[in-house]
Amino acid sequence: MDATTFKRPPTEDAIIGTSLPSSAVVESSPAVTLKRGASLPDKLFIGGSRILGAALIALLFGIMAVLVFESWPSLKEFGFGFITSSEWDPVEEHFGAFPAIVGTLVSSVIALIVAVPVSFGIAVFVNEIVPPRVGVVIARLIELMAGIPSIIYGMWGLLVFAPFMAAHVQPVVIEAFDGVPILGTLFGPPPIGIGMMTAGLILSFMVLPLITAVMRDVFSAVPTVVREAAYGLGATRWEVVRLVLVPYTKVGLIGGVILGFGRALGETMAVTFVIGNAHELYASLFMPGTSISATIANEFSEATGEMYSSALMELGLILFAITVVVLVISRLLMGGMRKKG
Amino acid sequence: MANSSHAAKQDHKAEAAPHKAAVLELKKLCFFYGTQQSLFDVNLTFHRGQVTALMGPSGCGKSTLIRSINRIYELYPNQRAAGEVLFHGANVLEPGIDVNDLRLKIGMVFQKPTPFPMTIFENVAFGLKRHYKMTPAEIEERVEWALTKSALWSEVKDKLHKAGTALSGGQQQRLCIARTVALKPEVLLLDEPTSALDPLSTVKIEELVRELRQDFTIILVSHNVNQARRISDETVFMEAGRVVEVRKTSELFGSPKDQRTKIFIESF
Amino acid sequence: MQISINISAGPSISARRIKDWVFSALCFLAAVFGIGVLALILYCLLKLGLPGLSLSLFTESTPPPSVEGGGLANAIVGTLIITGIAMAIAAPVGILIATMLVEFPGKGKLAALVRFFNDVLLSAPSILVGLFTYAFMVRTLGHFSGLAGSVALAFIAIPMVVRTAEGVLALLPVQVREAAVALGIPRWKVTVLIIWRAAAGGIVTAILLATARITGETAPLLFTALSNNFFTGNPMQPMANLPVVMFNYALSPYENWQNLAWAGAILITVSILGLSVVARIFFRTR
Repeated sequence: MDATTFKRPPTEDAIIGTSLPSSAVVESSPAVTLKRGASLPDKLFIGGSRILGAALIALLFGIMAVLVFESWPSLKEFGFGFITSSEWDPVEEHFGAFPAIVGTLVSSVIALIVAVPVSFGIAVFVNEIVPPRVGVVIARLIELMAGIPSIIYGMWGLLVFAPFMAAHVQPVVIEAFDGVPILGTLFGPPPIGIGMMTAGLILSFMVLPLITAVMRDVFSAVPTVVREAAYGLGATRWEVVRLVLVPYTKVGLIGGVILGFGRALGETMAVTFVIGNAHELYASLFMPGTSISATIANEFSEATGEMYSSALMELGLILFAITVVVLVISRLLMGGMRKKG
Repeated sequence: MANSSHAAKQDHKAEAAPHKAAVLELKKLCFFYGTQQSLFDVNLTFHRGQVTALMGPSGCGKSTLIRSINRIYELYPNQRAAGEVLFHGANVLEPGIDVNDLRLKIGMVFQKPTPFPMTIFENVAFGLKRHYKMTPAEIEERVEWALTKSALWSEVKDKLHKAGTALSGGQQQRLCIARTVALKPEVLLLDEPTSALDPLSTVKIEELVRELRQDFTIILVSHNVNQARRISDETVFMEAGRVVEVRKTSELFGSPKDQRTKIFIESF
Repeated sequence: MQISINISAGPSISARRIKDWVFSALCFLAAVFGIGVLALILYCLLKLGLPGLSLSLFTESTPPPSVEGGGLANAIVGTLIITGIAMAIAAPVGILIATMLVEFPGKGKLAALVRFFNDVLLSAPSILVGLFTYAFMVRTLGHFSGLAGSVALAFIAIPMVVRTAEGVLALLPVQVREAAVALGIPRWKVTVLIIWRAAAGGIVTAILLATARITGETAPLLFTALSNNFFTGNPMQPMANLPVVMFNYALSPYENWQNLAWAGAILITVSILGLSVVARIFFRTR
């Protein structure tokens, strides 16, 4: 310790004020004394920005609080039965959310079944197969899909895609699976175009760019050396993807898929156009159904009576609960991934 | 408030002969990054009109040391200094101190040139306009003075209104020195100011530092032993967060007392 | 060709090669599928929307059903006003929050929490924001209004601005900030005069991208701005806007309304593309 301590002769060290030449005494006058106190504008600016940050968190909880408050009459009236009941009768004021909840989940799952493999394929194609210059162009085009607002997907789905499904796809599928157990029921008639299946497909087009983007991000986080080492061992592309990329990025990939799921669950306009808005559950995916968001979008502005709008608010609350849980899971997974990378 | 007297004081000092008055004194200075301590009970005194070089292996705490003098470390919430940094007898680490006033009086230049996204003139005038109530003419005068002091005036006087980022690396670093010098601080902290520069620019900056010591108390962190030898009056050798040896530069390089200092110097 | 090489190289390698080839081909098909869907949507958009594009689209208000003529003037102006007010709220708020995340995270967990919940808000269903804004604004004021629509859209744009602006600010070298602070300049001035100035291009990009994102947002406007068959510049009244008009018209059985909906779709898509392209240019030349 002593070796590290530098000591000066005490004359210079301790009694600065008196041992200084006259010019120095002048200088250590008020000008050199440090001012005290922090800048008030600084406090306001920093404090203000932090308050806004806190307000952002409050917004999420505010949405939840408002939804709980608004749906209170319905919560009180129907209790847990709201979730399990299939009745939706605005005239008699009996409301049950079961078909809407199931419709939300089913359409989102269909969307994932289609979008996940396609997104995975595109991500691999863009990041691993084609030269970067080509990859960037494809990636930009796919990003463009994310930029198209959902209402346009909805209009296109209703006026172009659904008629096409009804005329060319559904009849063929119905006939192909006719008589086959389970599949025959799932893909049973009628071929009317709109319905659960069409909603799921449109949703898949919408979440596809999102999932692709996450997967590409996750793949680019894999160090080039790891990849090159595998290729260096003579592995084929498929082997590198299956044995290196996927195991390495598993958590992030799942996070991306769940993020896509969260987005699909809450997607409103596209679904509203094509799902058919029927508060019924049918075994066939070609039959119309409804989702939570579609029900709200279709009925809220016309909802007369406290109980009706309260029931719709409760639907919103359920959607809020489902999506927030899903989104939190996805962020936690991807956050863990980010730290690892 | 104290601006005019501050400026006057500086001018006055410029004429004063170099003398060994203590400007800054560190007493039992400790520093922590989170829970990790990186300075241990450092005691040092810095004198007016001198260049004091801090050298030592990377990670020895020399940059940390000067970063605690102007409290710039406070930008990072998990960094903390303890002990005393006495500036004319007042402890700058005390909570109530106005850090902006402190940084006006103790200026700092960094490793990498950091021109602001504005013209050369505005770069130098930037701090002036925030700290002093000066007329445009006074500002112009001070900008020219600072650029002259920083040996940059002749190179930029015709393009004062071009972007500061358009200058070469060495010029940018002199611009940064000018920006700091323009405020007429009492102490200049230089954190490896030449480490990102080419040899020619390095020579210019070194010459400049020797010039500037007439007006400022300079503390220079150097990654380069020869640089410390060339331009400092006093050299501090540090290792692992502790001061090993402090002596007149010529003495320290001539006959290092501590074995560790000797090994470090000879390794270059 | 590849198969013939594989045969000559032996059976085990050949099986590996075939798998690899099939896999690559599937990836290629996935890309074709994605781009195909995009192309199809854009093609239909042009085919169905272009005939409806005319000057009257911008000069005349929304017509009654089955009446020839008419335009979207009231909806276009409404969208501009609603989006403008929304961004006037969202841009400063979002930039300040992003600034706080990068510049003033503080010692506690606030910044981490804000970042986390911002990510959640970013993907939260926009229709819930519509319900929320309905309950606390439309209910409180007693009527639908363009302003309520703006507020709902602002809630959607803020997390977007925060996310992008945070990324932009975090890219700035720490040295610039340290250098400015070392001159003894208060933090807020350093932020406004140096940090924001240095990041100006990126911040503009963040604002433009968020604007693109809320252009075409429909769900939050359904129960806030509602719509209006007449021209109004008063944000305290229900206000026509492109998305809601498109929604109503596309679902209607009237052909002239459907055509207007498609024309509106083209307008929206072109605006979004334009905003994205300009945003990219800003980010590149900053």
